[in-house]
Amino acid sequence: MEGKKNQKQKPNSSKYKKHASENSLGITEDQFYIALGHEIRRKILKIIGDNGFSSFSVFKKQIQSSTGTIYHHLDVMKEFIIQDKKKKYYLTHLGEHAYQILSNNIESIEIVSKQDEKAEFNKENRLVDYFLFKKLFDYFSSQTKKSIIILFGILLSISILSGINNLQIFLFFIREGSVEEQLFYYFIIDSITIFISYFILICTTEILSYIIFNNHNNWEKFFNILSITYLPILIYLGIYTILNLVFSTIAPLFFDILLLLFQVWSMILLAKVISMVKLVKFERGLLLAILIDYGTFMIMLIVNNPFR
Amino acid sequence: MDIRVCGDTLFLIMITDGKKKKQFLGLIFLHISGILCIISEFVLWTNDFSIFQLFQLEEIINHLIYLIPLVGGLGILISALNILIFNRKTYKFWYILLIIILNLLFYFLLEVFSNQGAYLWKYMGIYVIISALLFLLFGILFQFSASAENS
Repeated sequence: MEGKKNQKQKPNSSKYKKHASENSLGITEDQFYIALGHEIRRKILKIIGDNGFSSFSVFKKQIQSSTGTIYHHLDVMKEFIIQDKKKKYYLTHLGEHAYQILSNNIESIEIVSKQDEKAEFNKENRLVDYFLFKKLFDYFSSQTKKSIIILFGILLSISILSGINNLQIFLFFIREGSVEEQLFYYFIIDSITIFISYFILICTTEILSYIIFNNHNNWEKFFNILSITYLPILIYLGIYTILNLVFSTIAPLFFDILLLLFQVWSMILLAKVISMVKLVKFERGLLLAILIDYGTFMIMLIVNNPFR
Repeated sequence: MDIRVCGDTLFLIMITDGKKKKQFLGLIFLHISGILCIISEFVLWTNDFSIFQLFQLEEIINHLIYLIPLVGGLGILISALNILIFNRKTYKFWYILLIIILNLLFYFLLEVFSNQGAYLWKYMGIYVIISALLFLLFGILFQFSASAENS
């Protein structure tokens, strides 16, 4: 029996050995975490990572520890750091990887702890919270099935309103339609484009967040919550419809400036969604939102071909 | 080719290099963008006319859009100076203002493209405003990636 057991265990052990040899980069997982396991070592990594390179005098000034201690920690981190001829310290590839892990972890811990703090202590209703739809975010995070129904509702009502007003919509950009057709034609076209643009928005955000943050978590939650970013566009379309019905002679520039402000509102909400779901800082979310906006602008520019 | 190398280098700096470098580059880009925006208002856009002259010649209320480069440029300079002086104290407001200006410039370009068409490319104005837009975009990206770093 024991022989059979050994025979059964053999393939596993060979797999383990193979796995271990694949990881033979001169440092094991334990050593990797030991190297990150001290405050001074993390500080050293952060100083070099933030500035690109550093010197011993900078370490001494910023860490405020004895020369021997710093040399000891530098010796422990020899896989992460290299020194050139001018005695400057640089990060190795492994060091850069460790720095990225460290900064991402600090960021996600900060974000999650801030979310917890807000949930526990900050129950005041500030004006900013209304603009950021704080309650809707909480609701969408907890109610998955209902949020999908609301998502379809928001997108459909946008397509109906833009169809009624003869507008073409793509992501957060809205232009006046040029072809004069029957009303249902615009409604169908707008419904198709709005759902396609929602799909494009999810895909591009996911791809960009994977490339830039190396983060592809929570895409289902992302799918549900992302519809909040279209709420300002819905409000804009509502205002547009009402003002067009009540006052027939409003300058188009007024609507354009209004749309622009609502677009920025949408972008801020998109940044908030990204920072919430991907657990990154708000600024990083805003970075992605701007990249997406710029990409959309380029598409709009190609559609409105200036060379025609 | 050179433009591509330049873009790749900027992207690399944005992803990897230190916070101070990003902040410094971002602020420089924002200032250059503001100055270029203001310059673009007064260089030629069409035959013998700058955008500012067009604004004065046409019916003013319907052509307020032609003032966007000037107003946007001043706004960029004010925001960049404020970010430089007050650093992190009131930065969110100025960043949002910068994004609004960025969208205003996008809107302006879309309108000008659809109105003026292919003739634009013969004159200086369009090149100045596009470079200002790119500087602004990179400036904002650098500033955001710098302020997103852990302090």
